[in-house]
Amino acid sequence: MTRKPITKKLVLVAMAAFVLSAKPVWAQPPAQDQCMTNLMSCYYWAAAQSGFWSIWAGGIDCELAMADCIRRALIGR
Amino acid sequence: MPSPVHLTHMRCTSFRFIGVLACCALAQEAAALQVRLLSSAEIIGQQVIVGRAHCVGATWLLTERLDLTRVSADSHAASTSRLRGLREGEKPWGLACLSQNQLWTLVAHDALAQITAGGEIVARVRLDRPRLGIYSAGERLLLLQTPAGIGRPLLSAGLPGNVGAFTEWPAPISQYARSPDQQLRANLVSCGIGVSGYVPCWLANQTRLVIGDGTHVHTTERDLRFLRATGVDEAAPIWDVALAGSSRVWVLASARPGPEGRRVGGRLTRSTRLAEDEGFIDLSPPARLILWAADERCVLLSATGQLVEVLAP
Repeated sequence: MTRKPITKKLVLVAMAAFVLSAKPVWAQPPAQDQCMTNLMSCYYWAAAQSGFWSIWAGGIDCELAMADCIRRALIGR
Repeated sequence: MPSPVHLTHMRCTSFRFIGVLACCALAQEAAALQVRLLSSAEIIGQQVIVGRAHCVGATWLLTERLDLTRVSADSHAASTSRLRGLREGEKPWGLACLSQNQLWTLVAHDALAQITAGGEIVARVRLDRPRLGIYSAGERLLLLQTPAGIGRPLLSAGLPGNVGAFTEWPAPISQYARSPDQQLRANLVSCGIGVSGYVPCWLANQTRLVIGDGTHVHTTERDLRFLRATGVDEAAPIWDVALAGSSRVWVLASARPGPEGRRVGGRLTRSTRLAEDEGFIDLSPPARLILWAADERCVLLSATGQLVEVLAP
């Protein structure tokens, strides 16, 4: 019978520890490495397009997408 | 009688002791800023803020999830609207406020959009070349362009109704980098809250702050040496800046990203346009950005989403 209050205390301590260790869930800006990985995948996609102009325009789109990724990673608040 | 050697040693120790006391006194003097909570309510969630614009009496925030929030400088009340009217593939970045609370954002690399206070897109302007950022400079928009060569201005200013007539903003200027991604990182410009047509801008990875109104004569560039303190993230040392009055500059220095990976502002310094350190405070919790500032006070959005005010003595 004496173990019951101890168990109760342990549960309370565990709950308190859990609450204290909880952090707000942040929406993450992309990591900078991820931007380069995305760029490489995008270049492969652009290279697979048919025709010179489609490949060229696709390449520009890839670089603009990388620019967007980098600015979010570096200065997104 | 003590020997000369002993005396010299005592003098040295005394001088050191006095020096340490003086340093402590100066440090206390420098750290005399005080912080207080302005509003306990969470005014914005944890989504990434992609744009901030300060208008008369309010600051607007735009998030990645397309929430447009107005925070009143008088009542500190916040109201949020959903951004509406985006076209397929559009992803807003940046926010600028012109006269009469006219809000503008970049909805794509080559398109500007005007937003109403209720979050509705009511006008679009096609741009002549890709732009990477948008800020306001008094009555004009400031647009960040992709670097073209070295030593060229990265910003240009003008009215949204006449994008062909945008003029170059003297500084910051483009930097050399070896690879395309390094070139982008080295030439990414952020601008803070300006006053009377003067805007503070900086290259994201540097400690040099440019303050100007678009003319060479009224443009100054200063190295913020006080940012070279421990704990400041060298990848993006200046996190945010707000000008107040004719001489005050509030600088939020970035803290190294924590385990959760997001960069925040860890130290707020009250400075001058000559880059003098007039006192600082280490913020706990850290801040996401500056909302508005006056000579003696600076209001920040804390990492926990609340309004926090820092007061000068």
